[in-house]
Amino acid sequence: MSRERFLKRIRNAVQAGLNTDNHDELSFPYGSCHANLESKCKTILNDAFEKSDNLFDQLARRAESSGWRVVKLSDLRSVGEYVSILAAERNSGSVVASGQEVIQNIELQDHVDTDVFFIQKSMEDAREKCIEADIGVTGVEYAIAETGTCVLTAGDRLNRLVALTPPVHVAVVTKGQVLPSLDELFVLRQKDSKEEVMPAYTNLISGPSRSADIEYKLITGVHGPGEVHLVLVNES
Amino acid sequence: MKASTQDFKRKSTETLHDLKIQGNLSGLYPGFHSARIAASESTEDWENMRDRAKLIKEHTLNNLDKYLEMLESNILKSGGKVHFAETADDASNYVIALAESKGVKTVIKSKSMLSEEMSLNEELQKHGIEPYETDLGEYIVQLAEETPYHIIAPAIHKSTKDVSELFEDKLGMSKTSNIEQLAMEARSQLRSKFIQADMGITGGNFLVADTGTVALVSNEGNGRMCTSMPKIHVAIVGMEKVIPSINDLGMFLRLLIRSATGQWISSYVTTISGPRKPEDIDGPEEFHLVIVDNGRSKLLADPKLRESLCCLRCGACLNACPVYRKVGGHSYGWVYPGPIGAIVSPILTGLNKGKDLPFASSLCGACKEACPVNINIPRMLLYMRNQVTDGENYPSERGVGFFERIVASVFSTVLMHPKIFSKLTGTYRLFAKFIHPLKRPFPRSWKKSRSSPILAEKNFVTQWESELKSEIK
Repeated sequence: MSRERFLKRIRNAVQAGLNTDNHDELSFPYGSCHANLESKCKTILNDAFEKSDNLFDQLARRAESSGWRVVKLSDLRSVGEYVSILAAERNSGSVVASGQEVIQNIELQDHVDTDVFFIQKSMEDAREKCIEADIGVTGVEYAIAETGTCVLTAGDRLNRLVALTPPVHVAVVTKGQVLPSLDELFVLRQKDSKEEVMPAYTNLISGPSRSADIEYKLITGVHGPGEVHLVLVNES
Repeated sequence: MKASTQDFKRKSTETLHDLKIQGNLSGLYPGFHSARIAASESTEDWENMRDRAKLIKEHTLNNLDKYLEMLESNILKSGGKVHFAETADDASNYVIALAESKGVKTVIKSKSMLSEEMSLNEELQKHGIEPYETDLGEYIVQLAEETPYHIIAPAIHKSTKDVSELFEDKLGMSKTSNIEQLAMEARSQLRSKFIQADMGITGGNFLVADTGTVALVSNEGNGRMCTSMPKIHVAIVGMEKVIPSINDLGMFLRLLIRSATGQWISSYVTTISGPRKPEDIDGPEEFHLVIVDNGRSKLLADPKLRESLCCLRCGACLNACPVYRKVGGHSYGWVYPGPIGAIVSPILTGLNKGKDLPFASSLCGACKEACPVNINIPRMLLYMRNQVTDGENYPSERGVGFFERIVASVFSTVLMHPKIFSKLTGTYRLFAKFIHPLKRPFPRSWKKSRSSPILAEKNFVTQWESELKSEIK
C-alpha cells in the first residue's frame, strides 16, 4: 500500500526533524474552533444587516480600486434597466443569468431587447449558452468589504460558467450580504463544514480577469470577463 | 524536470552578459518588489501575521502526518479521491493511468511548479495525451519549449517583441507590439482547448485540512476554467501546502497574494471541496487530489532545514534578491530558483550537484526580510554551505573532494599556529624578493573582480613591533 508507506515515511521524518530548541506552542488539532460557532455566525450575519450602509461604502471604495465598475441603484427593478443599457451600448448578443432569486426578481427579460437565458439544471445546452453569451448576470452569496470581492458559490441556482465565459459580468449585491473581511467568510464556512453542507465550489472574484505576464504590463480580460460591474442595491 | 544545477556558474555568467535579459530582469525590483512593500505596509498587523503564520506552519509540519490524514478523510467525505505519491514518477503515473482509463485526449493545465518537477507535460505527451498550459506566461514558455523563469511570472525574461516573434512563428499571427492583441490571440487559441478538454490539472496554493478544501489563487481565470469545464479535475499539490484550519485561510491568502504580486487580493481565489454536488448545475464529476512528497520528506527530516517547508511559494525572495535579479531564473538549473530555491533544489535533486547554489548569495538578508512567513533563509544557506564542505548530515553528498579537504585542513592548521605561519610566509617573502610575479600572490580568478594588493615587505607583526606601536602611542 503506497498510502501506508507514504504516511509512515512522513511519520518518521516528522520525528527525525523535530526541533528540540523550539517548543511548539500549539497543539493538535489546531484551529477548528467549534465552540460558540453557532452564535458567532449569527452575530456576523446580523452585523452584515445592521452595518450594511457602512459596509456598502467600504465595499464600493475597494471594489473601484480593484477594477469593478461600481454602481449604486435604489431598487432591483433598476438593475434590469442597467443591464439593458449595457447590452444596447455594446450591441451585444445574448445575456445569460443565474437562477438565483434576486436575479429572478429583476425581471430582466422585460427590459433587455436581446435574448435572455436563465441557466437551470434542466437546460441541456446551458454550457453552450454560457459560452456564446456576451453578458452574464448573477447574484452573490456574499461580498467582502476588505478586498472588494464577490463570493459566488456554485449550486443548483448558479452554475460555474455564467460568470466566467461571457466577456462581461454583472454581479448584484443586496443588503445584508456584505461581510467586513475574509475572516468572517471563513468562519461561516467552518459552520457549513461542520453541518456537512460545505459547498463544492466557491469563487472569490475581485475585479476583472487580468495578467501582467508580458513585461509586467497589466491587461484585462485574458480568460475570464474583462469588464465587471458591481451593482449595489441596499435593499433586501 | 532534469536538474542542471551543476551548470550554475556557467549559466549565470552567460546571463550576466546577456544585455537583453538584464533589461527584462531590471523590471522586477520596481515592479513586484515595490508593490509588495506598498501592500504589506498598508496591511494592518502585517508583522504579527508573519509571526503567526510561521508558528502555524511549523506546528503543521511537526504534525504533518496527522494533518494529512485529516485532510484525506475530509476530501473522501466530500466524494473526492486522494492519492499519496512518494515520487514525481508516482504522481505522473497516477495521472496518466487515470487519463488513460477515462479516454482523455486533451488536458488543460493551470500553472503548477510541481508539475514541472514531474515533467508532467512530457510524460503526458509520451502517452499520446496533449497538455495545454493556459496561464499566459506558461503558455508562452510552453510554445517556446522552455521552462519557467520565475515562479510567479514564468515568461518575465521575454519582451513583447520576443513574444510576438514566437506567436508569429508558432501560431502564424502577424507581428504586433500590442500586448493586448497578444493576450487576445492566446485567449482565442485556448478557448477551444478549454471546451474540448477532458481533464483539468491544477496545482493548489493551500490545502485546508479541517474542511478538505483546496484553495487556488489566480488572476487570468484559467484556473477557474480548468476547474469548471472538464469532466475530471486533478489537483497536484506538494504535501507541505497543508494548513490546519479554514479559520486561518484569510490570513494566509493575504500574506501570499500581497507578497507575490503586491495586489490587495488576486482577481480570483477558488476554493474546491470535492467534485460537483448532485444538485449542482455544472462542474467536474470527479475530483482527485494528488499529494506529492518527491524529496520533501528529506527537508522535513532535517531539523535545520524543516523551516524551508514553511514556504508559500510567493516569489518575494526572488524579487528581493540582488543575485536572482542578475543571474535570473534559468541559472539555478531547476524548478525553484532564487534564495529559497538555493535551499530546496539541491536537497531535492542532489546536494553535490547543486553545491554552488548555497554560495550564490551575499547573505544580505533581503530574502528573510521579504518572506511573508519570516523564513530564515540566510541561516539555512550557511548550514548548506557547511554541509557541502564538511557537513556530517549528508556525507555521501559532500561537494568537496578529498584533495581539497586535505589542503583546507593543512591551511587551517597553519593559520592556527602563528610560528609556523610566520616561518612559511617569511620563506615566501625571500623568494618574492627575487621572483617578482610572486609579489602579487593571488590567482587570476581571484583578480577578475577584485584588486590585487602587493605583498608587503615585512609581515604585520614585525611592522607592529618596529614602527606601528610607537606611532600609535
